[in-house]
Amino acid sequence: MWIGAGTANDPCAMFGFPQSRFMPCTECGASVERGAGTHLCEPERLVEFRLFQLREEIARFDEQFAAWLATARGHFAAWIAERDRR
Amino acid sequence: MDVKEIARRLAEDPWRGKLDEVLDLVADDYVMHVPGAAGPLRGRDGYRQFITTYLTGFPDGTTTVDDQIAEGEIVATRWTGRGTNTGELMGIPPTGRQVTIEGISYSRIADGMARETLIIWDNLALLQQLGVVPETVPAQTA
Repeated sequence: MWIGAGTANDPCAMFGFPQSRFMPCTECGASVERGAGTHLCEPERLVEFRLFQLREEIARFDEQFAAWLATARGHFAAWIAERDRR
Repeated sequence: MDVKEIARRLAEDPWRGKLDEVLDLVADDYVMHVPGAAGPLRGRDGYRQFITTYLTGFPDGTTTVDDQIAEGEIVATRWTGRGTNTGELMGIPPTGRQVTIEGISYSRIADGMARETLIIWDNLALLQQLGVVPETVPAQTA
């Protein structure tokens, strides 16, 4: 099949607003070709996409957590956790 | 190295970490015509600027040559670009989305060096896939 060929029976392919042949899945962000059948999200890809969307929150949490660990309570909690780990 | 191979390397190798090597194939007076640009990009710096812009937006990006036709100094290269948008692209914040873009480069190659390129790709599709022009595909989770 030649490049970019949609289905001959799809009027939108010829007369509608141009649509991308590929689109990212709304759940996992993977590139999916139109008309290629059912797309199943790979779990790893799902996690990566979600983590990317939350990257700023994760960064803020890391900063806040590090700041809390630097407090007296944080030091003590870390000490207790290390003791329990052993 | 024939003109097709030079054109192929220009299309694919910068995305394989070989940008500096590829610049050896770009002439000092190279001119690159890019859709939407205010004017042509010139020389090795212009080529590097173009590649760097899209490498920044798609650090894992790849380009695959699908087909080539050559006559004399002229090479037409049909390619498909793929990448994950994890970096800023022309002011658009990163989306984390994977994109697939098809395009054609029309190059003039003489004396073993790229002299001029007209590169055309589906910009609307790129913007749709990045969500600048909204469009989505329903998904099912395994």
